[in-house]
Amino acid sequence: MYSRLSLRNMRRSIRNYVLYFTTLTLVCALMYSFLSLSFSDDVRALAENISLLTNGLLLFSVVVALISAFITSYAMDFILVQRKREFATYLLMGMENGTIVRLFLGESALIGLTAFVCGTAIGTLFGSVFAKMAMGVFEVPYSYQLRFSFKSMFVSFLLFLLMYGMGLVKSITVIKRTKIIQLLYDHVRNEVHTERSLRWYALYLLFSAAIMTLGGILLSRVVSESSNMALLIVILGSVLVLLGVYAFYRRFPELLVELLGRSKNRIYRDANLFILGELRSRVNSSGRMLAVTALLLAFSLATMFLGLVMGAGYKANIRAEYPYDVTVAIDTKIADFDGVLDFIGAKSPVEDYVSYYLYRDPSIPVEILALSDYNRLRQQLGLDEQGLAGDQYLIHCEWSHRKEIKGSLALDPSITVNGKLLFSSEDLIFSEPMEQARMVGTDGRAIIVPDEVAHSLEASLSRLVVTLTDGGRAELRGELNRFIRNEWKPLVLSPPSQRVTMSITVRAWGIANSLSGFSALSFCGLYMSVIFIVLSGTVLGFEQLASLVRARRAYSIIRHLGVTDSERKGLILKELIIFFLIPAVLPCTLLLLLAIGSHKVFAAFIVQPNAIPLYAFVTLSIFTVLYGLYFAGTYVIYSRSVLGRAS
Amino acid sequence: MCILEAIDIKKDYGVEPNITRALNGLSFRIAKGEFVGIMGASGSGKTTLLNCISSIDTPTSGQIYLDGKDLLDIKDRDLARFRRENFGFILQDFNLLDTLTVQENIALALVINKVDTKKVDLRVHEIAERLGIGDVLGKYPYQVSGGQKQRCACARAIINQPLLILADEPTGALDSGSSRILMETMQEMNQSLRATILMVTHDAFSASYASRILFLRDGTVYRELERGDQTRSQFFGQILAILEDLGGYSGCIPDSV
Repeated sequence: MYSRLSLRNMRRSIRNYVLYFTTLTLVCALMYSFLSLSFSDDVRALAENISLLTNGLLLFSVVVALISAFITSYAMDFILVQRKREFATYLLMGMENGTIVRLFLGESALIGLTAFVCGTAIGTLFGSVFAKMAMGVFEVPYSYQLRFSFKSMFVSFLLFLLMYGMGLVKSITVIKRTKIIQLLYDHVRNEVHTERSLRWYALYLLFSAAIMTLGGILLSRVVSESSNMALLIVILGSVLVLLGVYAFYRRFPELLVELLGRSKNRIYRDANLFILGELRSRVNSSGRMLAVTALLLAFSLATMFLGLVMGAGYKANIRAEYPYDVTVAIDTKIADFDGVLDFIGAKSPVEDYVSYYLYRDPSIPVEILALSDYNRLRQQLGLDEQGLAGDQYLIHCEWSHRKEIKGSLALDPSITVNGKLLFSSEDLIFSEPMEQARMVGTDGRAIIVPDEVAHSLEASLSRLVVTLTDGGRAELRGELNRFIRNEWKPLVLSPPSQRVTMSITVRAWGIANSLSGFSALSFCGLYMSVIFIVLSGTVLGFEQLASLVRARRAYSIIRHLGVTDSERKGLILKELIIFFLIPAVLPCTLLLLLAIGSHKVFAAFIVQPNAIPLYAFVTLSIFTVLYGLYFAGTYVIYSRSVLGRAS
Repeated sequence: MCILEAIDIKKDYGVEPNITRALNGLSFRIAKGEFVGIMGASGSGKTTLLNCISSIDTPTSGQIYLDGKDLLDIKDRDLARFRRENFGFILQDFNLLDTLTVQENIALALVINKVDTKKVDLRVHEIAERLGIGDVLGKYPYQVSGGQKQRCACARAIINQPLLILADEPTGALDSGSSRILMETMQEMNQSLRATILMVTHDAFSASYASRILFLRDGTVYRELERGDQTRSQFFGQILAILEDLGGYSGCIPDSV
């Protein structure tokens, strides 16, 4: 009997449940699909450090479940409010509280399970798409295939239970504790309007704008900060920006409504006065929720954009980071790399190699390279050779140093190396990616001098660059590392020092592992931001639907006053557009500012042209589609409920 | 001059064989400037009649003429405009928007009627002063008394100077003191502002402010009572007598009639 009643109740309240069900299904689908990516054997085999991605996704899933639990609880509160009078009727009829709880549990379990099953089915589709995307990132051939993962389903189910259970427990507590009188008359409580002066609003908003600006200034300083302080500055800057967004949104809608109300010409036109009243009520009752939504949206848009841009930057810059197949850097002077070359040759056929030294002159703060070695390195990369007159030197540096170096050259183009005066000019500055951080210099720059000048100096650092016929394998790095550390006994020519720094790179390994970083950034960013947009849409939808009882009455009143049905539809559309636009305006503006700022600062460092505008557009497009979906859903349900009952 | 004429109005609900006839061939006329009350027991067809007159509902048969125009000839798309230009409503639960101040609630009627924005505030203040709510214009409905809310509804109903004001149990949610003030307000609207009022009520005290009363029974006019030169107290007595005849009146007789 009761199960039939649960089923009928669910069918009857289908309108209330649509948004709720959609959100549950989407969250389940996203959770399952990202978890299936995390547990996929194909993905786990992609790179040594792919756990960065897989563990990241698992961790994010737990975070998503916890955040979604609050939203589920919020959605359940809404459904409870809609059905309070129904529950009161059951109580008046003599039904026990426990029975009502069981009824509610039955309905919720039915909805939850259906959403989970649908979500898992959709998630299987999504999961395959994500797997294909991940494989595409690593340039591993992968044919699209639907794969069901029991492990992902099990973990998703556990997380779903956590999320759904928390919401259910709260709702059950509410049902158990609420008295009949509260259930019957809770909807007739008055709203209380707090009036504040314009000066108060101006000061408050200025204060929140100042917090945001401070955060923005801190974030812009990250560019010039290369120490560990950078992370601290990023965190502090982000927190300040988000805090500013929240504070701003807490009162901005109130001020907006207040200002609109003062313009008599505007509000006395058409039915703007009515819209003003509706907005006033929404802002009054949902101010905090609007601020939280704005915060979530700002965070999600920034996360998605940065995830995509940083990921793209990573991928595009990867080849610049690893220009050579194999490099070995020993920060002392050794006789030769013969043992190392033999070892590499045994693993992969060696096509060519350059073994050379970096020199130092006590009066010059950067490393010095012989022209012939430099040209040999250029040859490995397919670059043209450079020539120097006997009294010339050239500078090879990263792009970021060019401006400073040009400035120095304008002041004094000469240096003295081991007593020989050499000159340079702007034409002799080169910045092709040749691994300036280690192989050509150690601080992003080096001076290249004629061989005879270089050879008169003391060699201090030994370098080896190897080009392999087959490009090499990722595993070579581990093998080479073990060999150099445990077996190789180089002949050290420098005076013995306690500690010798050494580094090894293998391009095949570096690219695979950098791609893990790229994937982790992109996928985790996408995951969190999509979930946050979905949750924001849900919150806004429920906030709007929570006002149904009042809205039905209001729209019925204006019908009595002679407003036509089509005009009322127009008013509902206007009301919803404004309600959904308010929390989206600042996050979208911040995204654009972030995109413009990033483009100015980072565009030169990202090999892919126009990557920043492109990903800002992609971010806004994904946001618009998802947000628009929730807007449309809310509009359909809201207008049908309001006009259906009122007319 | 006749403002409203209802001819042989019938209104049926339900389908064969379970048809309920709410209005059964009801006819009457209301002249310009009249204050007419409609009384009757529950289920006598009072509210159905009001809904048909206000064009919110359509009669099954018959004609309703407002200022010579047959309401049934008006196309659906023009009904809303017709309503806002010709009717003012005062309903039992005030029907004020909680989200707007008293002033904005009154102004809304003008705004919807596309009155020049510069004249809105002036007209609102004028009517509010006349109805004694000038000092609560800036307040929200929840901040004022029930009587003040209903006077706000009166102001909203009359501000567009409609042909007919329709009042459905206007004192239904008020205490006796507020009811008296409201009825005096409506009388003032009728006498000084020349408003034509059709008021549905089951309260004899409220009805005693009208100049004529139609008593409905089983969907038709059972009796009609004119106040004429009688005092309100005498008229009230006559109303009670007819109500007793209609099926008993269980309400209290106010001391101050």
